[in-house]
Amino acid sequence: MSRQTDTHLARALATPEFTERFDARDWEALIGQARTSDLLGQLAERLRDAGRLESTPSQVRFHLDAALRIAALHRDSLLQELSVIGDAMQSLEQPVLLLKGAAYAAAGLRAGRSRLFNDIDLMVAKNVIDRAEGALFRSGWRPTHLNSYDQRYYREWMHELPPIEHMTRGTVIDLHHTIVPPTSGHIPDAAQLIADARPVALPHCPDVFRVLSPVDMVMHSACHLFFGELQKGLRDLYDLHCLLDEFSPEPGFWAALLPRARAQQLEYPVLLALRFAQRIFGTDIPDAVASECRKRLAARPTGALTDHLIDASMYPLHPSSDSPWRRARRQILYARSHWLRMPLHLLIPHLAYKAFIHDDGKAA
Amino acid sequence: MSVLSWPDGVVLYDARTATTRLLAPRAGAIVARLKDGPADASVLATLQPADDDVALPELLDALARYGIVRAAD
Amino acid sequence: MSQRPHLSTLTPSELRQRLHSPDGLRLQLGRFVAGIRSNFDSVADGLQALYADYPVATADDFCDYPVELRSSGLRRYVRPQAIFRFEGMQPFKPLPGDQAVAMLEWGLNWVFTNHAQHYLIIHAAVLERDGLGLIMAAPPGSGKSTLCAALALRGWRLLSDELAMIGLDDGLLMPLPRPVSLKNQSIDIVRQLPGQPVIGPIARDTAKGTVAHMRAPRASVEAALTPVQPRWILFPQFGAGHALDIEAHGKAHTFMQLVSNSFNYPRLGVTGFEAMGRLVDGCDGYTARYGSLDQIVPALESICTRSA
Repeated sequence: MSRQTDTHLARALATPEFTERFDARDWEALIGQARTSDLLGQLAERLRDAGRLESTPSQVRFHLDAALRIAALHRDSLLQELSVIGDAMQSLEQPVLLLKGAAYAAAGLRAGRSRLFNDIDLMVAKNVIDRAEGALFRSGWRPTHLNSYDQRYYREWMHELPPIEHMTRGTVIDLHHTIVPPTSGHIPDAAQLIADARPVALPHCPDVFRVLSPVDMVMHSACHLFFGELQKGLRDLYDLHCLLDEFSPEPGFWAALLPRARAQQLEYPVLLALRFAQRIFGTDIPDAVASECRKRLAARPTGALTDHLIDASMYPLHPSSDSPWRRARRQILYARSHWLRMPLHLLIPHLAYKAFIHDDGKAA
Repeated sequence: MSVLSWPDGVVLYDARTATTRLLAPRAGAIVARLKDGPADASVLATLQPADDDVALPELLDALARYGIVRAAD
Repeated sequence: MSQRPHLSTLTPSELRQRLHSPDGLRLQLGRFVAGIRSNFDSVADGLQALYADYPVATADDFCDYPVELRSSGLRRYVRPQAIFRFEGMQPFKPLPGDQAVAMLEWGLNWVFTNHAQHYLIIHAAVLERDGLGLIMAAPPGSGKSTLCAALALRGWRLLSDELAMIGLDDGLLMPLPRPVSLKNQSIDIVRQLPGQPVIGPIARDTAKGTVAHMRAPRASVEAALTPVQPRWILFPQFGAGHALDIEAHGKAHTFMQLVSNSFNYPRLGVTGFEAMGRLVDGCDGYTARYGSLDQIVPALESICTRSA
């Protein structure tokens, strides 16, 4: 059966039953898209939870089972790491927030299951950040970007310190004091986010860690997706979809989401998040919220163009779902996502520097 | 901590630091015994005849420095 | 699966046509199917020489690992470069076009090492004799590949010349017989061995020197779906003029040495530790120094028997 394969991954994640009539060609597209999007473990879990692993052809199932095994190893390794970090941060006697993947896993959320973990993102209050970094240095972490240009880029313009890497374990921590770059023009109230954060208990770990409240977590995930790099767009959007799905039944969640985002001056990313989660994954959003979302987005002048460009990032970078046209749209957007993070007068020298110094072929 | 013992030595896996180590038979026997619970130095001394010049306290010190054993309070 | 026709049944133009098609040439490698696309004539020739006995799957069969060996656009007619891709992603920098066949082999090794995670993977040659497995682990330059080729030509079943794949649950060695990679002098040595070795295209000036591959014996390819219980672990070290010296190697030391030869042990946590422990426990370990194949081969043939 030949059919369009572009949206196989998104559709299978949203509705695992979609794979019922798959032939070999469809499975190849699905597995390939999942591999390039770092979503193979989560796809496998989705199929497993929906009781579809047994009916998956055994050749295909091999890869899904392998991905589940690898994800379990990543998770064990993350928990070990958090235990070591927890010990290091205990002396601070300050809340330490876990962000993104580590938070999802620590809080037992669906978004945290069967995923691969890269850097660990932590957030502390701005006035504590130097002490926090010091505590980590004493436990074996070391700076990575020693070039003074990069150091300035991170400290002055971004919302985090340059990543630090453990000298023997090799794990990397990104230490933040807010959830979006200050130069983006958006200034959320970090103290409020920290105050509303909820503690999480982890095995063999001192009680130092907290995670953002559900509404704040969704807000941050939306910011990460739209202020950050859109290369892993689909994966980040899937996280959002899982969070929305999981928090939806919580009383007061939907009523609080947009007002909170407005109060934190982060409404735009949340509106985009809701629109795209619904479009790509069919997330269930209450009608009242969806219509408010549509109204507010329609009021923005660059709406249609942004929409078009972001859409291009929500397809896996795999031959079965990619095209030169989408690649071109993504290139334009790469430049734009930087624009969202920092003002133009800072962006241009930055990009020029990167193109000159770094021969990684990815300069916009 | 996981331990595997053979005549030519003992292999140790420390999940916390994700390191794998090889210990000589005597050190390995000590670690294997301590895995079952704390023990007195006198008990540890009887585990295996010293096949080297290292005194027991020095050996325990070295193991402690690697984070493998720890003095009980 | 055993009904699949062999690559040798394809005419040269059929072979090229499949290599150029979007679905690629689907080659069965052990339990896997690799989909190979390439616009290099040398790759077509190399496959014909080295993979003649391998089953060919159809576009209706599921392809586990789609790979591509393409010559880079602009420079194609000047000095073509070879680009390797897996699932459309490019894990390495390009190489000179005349190394395309070698790059395909290295690329496939990379794919199996990074995308077959149900296995503890050790950098070693693996052969079977009397229904049991010999794992030969050694750093490059130790003569391992020459020895591996020699044993394969003498009728030992080849499971792999590079990758020992040990099942994390069952502890068995999974076969993935592929062309034996040979370097420099070893190419001439193997060429002169009895058993009609078939040597594929030669690539010169690679990062590893002069490189070529010996076709895996047909019987090894035909048995590629039969895993093997490991029984012997050997650390060979070739040195010109050495006398033969084989010694039993303690299990704890064997363990540590295999860890240092393993690609993915560090990523497997305690699962890797346990799998390595089971492997070492069930095998006899040896180190061997030798100066010629004539010394080491008979010695191995007397050690590696079921009754020993």
